[in-house]
Amino acid sequence: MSPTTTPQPEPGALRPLLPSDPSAIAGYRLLGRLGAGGMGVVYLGRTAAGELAAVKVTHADQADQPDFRARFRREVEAARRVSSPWAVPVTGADPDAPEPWMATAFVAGPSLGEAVAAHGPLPERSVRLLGWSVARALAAVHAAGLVHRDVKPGNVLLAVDGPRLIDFGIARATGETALTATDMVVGTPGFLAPEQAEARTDAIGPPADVFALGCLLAYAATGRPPFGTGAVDALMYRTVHDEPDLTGVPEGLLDLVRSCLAKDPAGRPTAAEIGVRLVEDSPGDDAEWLPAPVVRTIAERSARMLALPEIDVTEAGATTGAAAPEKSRRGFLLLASGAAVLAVGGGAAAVWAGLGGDKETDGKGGGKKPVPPRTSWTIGVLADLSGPGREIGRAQERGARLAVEQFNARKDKPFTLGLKVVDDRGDASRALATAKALTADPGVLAVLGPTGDAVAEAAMPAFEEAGLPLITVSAGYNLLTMRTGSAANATFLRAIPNHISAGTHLSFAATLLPEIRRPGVLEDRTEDHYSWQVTGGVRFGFGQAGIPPHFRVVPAHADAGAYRRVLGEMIDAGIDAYVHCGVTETAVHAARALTELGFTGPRFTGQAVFGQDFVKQAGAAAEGWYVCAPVADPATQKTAAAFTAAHRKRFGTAPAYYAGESYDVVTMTIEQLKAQAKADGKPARKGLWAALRKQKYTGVMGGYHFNEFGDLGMGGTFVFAVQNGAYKPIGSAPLLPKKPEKNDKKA
Amino acid sequence: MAYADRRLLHACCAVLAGGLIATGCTSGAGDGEGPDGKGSTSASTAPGTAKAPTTAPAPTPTALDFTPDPKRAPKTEAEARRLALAVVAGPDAWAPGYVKRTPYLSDPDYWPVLGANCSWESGTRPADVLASVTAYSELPATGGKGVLRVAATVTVHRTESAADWEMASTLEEALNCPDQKLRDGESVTGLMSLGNPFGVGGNATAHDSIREGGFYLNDAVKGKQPYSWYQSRIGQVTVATVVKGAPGYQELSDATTTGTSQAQVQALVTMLERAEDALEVKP
Repeated sequence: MSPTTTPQPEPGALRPLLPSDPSAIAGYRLLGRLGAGGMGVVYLGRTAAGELAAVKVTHADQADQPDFRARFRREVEAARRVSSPWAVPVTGADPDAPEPWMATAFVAGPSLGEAVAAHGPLPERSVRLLGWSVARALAAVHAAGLVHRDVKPGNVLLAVDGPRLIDFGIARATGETALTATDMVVGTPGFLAPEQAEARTDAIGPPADVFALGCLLAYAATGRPPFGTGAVDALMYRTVHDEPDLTGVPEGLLDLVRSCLAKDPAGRPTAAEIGVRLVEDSPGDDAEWLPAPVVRTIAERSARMLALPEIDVTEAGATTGAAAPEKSRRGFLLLASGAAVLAVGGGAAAVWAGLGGDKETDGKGGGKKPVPPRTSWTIGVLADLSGPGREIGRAQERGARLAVEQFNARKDKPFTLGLKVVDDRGDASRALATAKALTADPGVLAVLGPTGDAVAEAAMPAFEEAGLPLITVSAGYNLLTMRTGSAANATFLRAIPNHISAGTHLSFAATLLPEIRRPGVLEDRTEDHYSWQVTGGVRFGFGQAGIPPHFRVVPAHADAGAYRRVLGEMIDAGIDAYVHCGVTETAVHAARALTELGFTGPRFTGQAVFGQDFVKQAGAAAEGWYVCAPVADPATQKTAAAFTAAHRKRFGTAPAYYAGESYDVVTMTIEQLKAQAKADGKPARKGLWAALRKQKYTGVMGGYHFNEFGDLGMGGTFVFAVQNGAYKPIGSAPLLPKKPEKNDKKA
Repeated sequence: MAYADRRLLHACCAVLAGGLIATGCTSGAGDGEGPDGKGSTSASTAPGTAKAPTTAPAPTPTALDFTPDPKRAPKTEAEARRLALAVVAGPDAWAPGYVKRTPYLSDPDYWPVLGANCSWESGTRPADVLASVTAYSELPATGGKGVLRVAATVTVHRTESAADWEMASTLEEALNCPDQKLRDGESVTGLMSLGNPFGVGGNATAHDSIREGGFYLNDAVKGKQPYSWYQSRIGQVTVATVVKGAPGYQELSDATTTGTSQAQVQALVTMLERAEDALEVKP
């Protein structure tokens, strides 16, 4: 069995809990059993916020098999990286529990297999929209570096607003029997690619999913798998050697389906291409995408969810009312999808609120809430796990995870904490929507993140509106703690220097080198806001030291030739040191140009360049560069020894930069939550930011205190030197400049 | 005029937001100005930008809605000067009450450069600049207020890249010379500058924009006045407006008084729209 498999049989088949079953797992109250197999049980669970989830628990004896937990953890991490409205997200997991469990959003709809079995083939338009959505989901799976390997009618669930791909992110060995085989209504062989059928493991990649998608579309359009049914051996043989039977596939889809079913994986389109091809010739209106009988089936299922034990109808109704205006388009679709849906009203919406694609559950609640007192809360992590900042984002997730797990492991804990990780992919255009997965979840009390400035800027309104503290260890953009007008920041806490302070620290560090009289400072406009802030700080710092820099400004993404020219002019102007206020891409140009030009003075740069890419790309030219970062090396902190050991034990590797600071601020936040619980009976968002801002905390990486704006109080810049292709920690940047006059006297 | 008003708001944010000064500008997000869908059919399209059958949210624009027509791009100095004269903001583009100064237009060869001693001197127009025109206007002294002197400049470069480098050099000026001598008896001090490329800091009107601010000192006028220079780029053209503050005026608007920045932004946006209109592909 694959630990991330999520069978979702029809709710009618929901069976009561057995006396041996737990009543709750982590934050999920269990409502019944969805399925069971040799390896574990799948429960229907419900969060305190009312979201339904499929919670799969693995039997302890299975979990004790060699490598099981490591693989489970890997798969959960992989699944979390998939972000698509058409893929059902993982909402929680604990690979280290005695019985490891994983939860995904629960979709009530029938599977494609069930729908076709009950109502026959879908019309061409439905097939197109199905293909478009599943292709988009697969593109997200593939973009996360995964292969689904089990795209089939049983793994596509139909909801009113579109289909959902489930059971993704699984590094599943070919032929391995999933728990689904016994529990799904449809689990038909015949959706495997030739390379899977032949178990050519090395050849199985994203194209195998595309082949399966071709089979899926043919099945949806005709009601028959294109290589027939019957004995598995014969089916496999036909898949490898025979042409597909595409009789009945609409003319407009024939070419696309045929190209997906190419025997040679290299001959198939990518999932992203299929998405585009289906959009280009799709009818554009937003009318309901499924035939009326299928919509009715979905509605009936949704209605049945109302009869589930412990589903609170009052709260569900309130959720519908409050949530509908926020998700206008989907909400409209839902209500416009026909009388059958209207008939179940709140029930359908309540279920829909728990769907994977839209995480905007209502955080405001409504009226009276006859919910039992909550004993579990959540720390959120908003991080770039798959975009340009993933090196940093993943380190932060690990630091936070370790902090939460250590807290939960304590016997005297006054409550338990979950961890909800959301991948922002470094994409500012989606950030506001992404953030709502956290801000709209009332169980989330504080969030670590985000990784980058642009996402922070875009997501901030959601956090402000929700009054949810957002604590960063890497977003240094100054305006994140500044507000226009009279409103003061009461949401954002920055455990690192902002870029302006960091620039000042950088220049102070440079003043330690007594020979610097005329530093050349280059502002690279590639990330303009970062660069002008660092430049401004550097200008201020050198000003404090009485050292006049020579400034140059270079347009965004200037090429190597431009850097050679400008740096040549700077050298001609007499610079004796170089400060790069810019990003890695251009620091590499600068490093090479300075080497080529024979410049011998010291070179400095800042946070945006601090990472493996710079040393890798600049190679020998990076040697000797001083890079100022907002984080320290755990190896240099004696107080971090236990943390480092725990990180190794937990993740099998020493902590990366940013993990220690993340661990610290999450632990710091947990301490405040404990204090709140002691004082008020329960931890809460309210008052948390102010309490965090006022306190002083000493963590494993050092001390943290904050000024009135929510910025780190003082210091916090660490100098590294590139030596032999690695970052060698030098020490903290000084808090005051060293003035040349003083140096002169000494000399 | 709703469209123009929105543009104005965007421009206001573009030049004012970003951290040097706080303003009451809203970000302009969520005003319903959707993407035009240009170039959105590639396979690598981000989620939500392709035409989705159901619920993809409208993304914020990722590129300026401006497609230059190579046939309309000025290539000679004469063409460039015609364009600059057509684009440059006269008094009417600022606000009612503004009038031409004498002389009204700069000399065709006028090209000031910032010398090593941070003093502006006459220089030679670089080879990559096809034409540059400055139009001088003012709001005459009235009711206890001083003369408010303003100017608008249009510079046409041979290439977009050259214009980009001009923007960079404008940023360099304030970094290297926060105090500058304009001419005998006139100087600016405490200059700071800030760039906002398209999509950053609320800039939705130009490929790039810069705000430079500081204080204006005139021997003939008592005290320090605000000084502000706004500069934007669209394609190969840069446009700039400058206001040298005068007694009785304030730069930014508040509840009771209209600041000089409003006319300054109006003149800037007018020039951007004229340049866009003159250079873009016509349907």
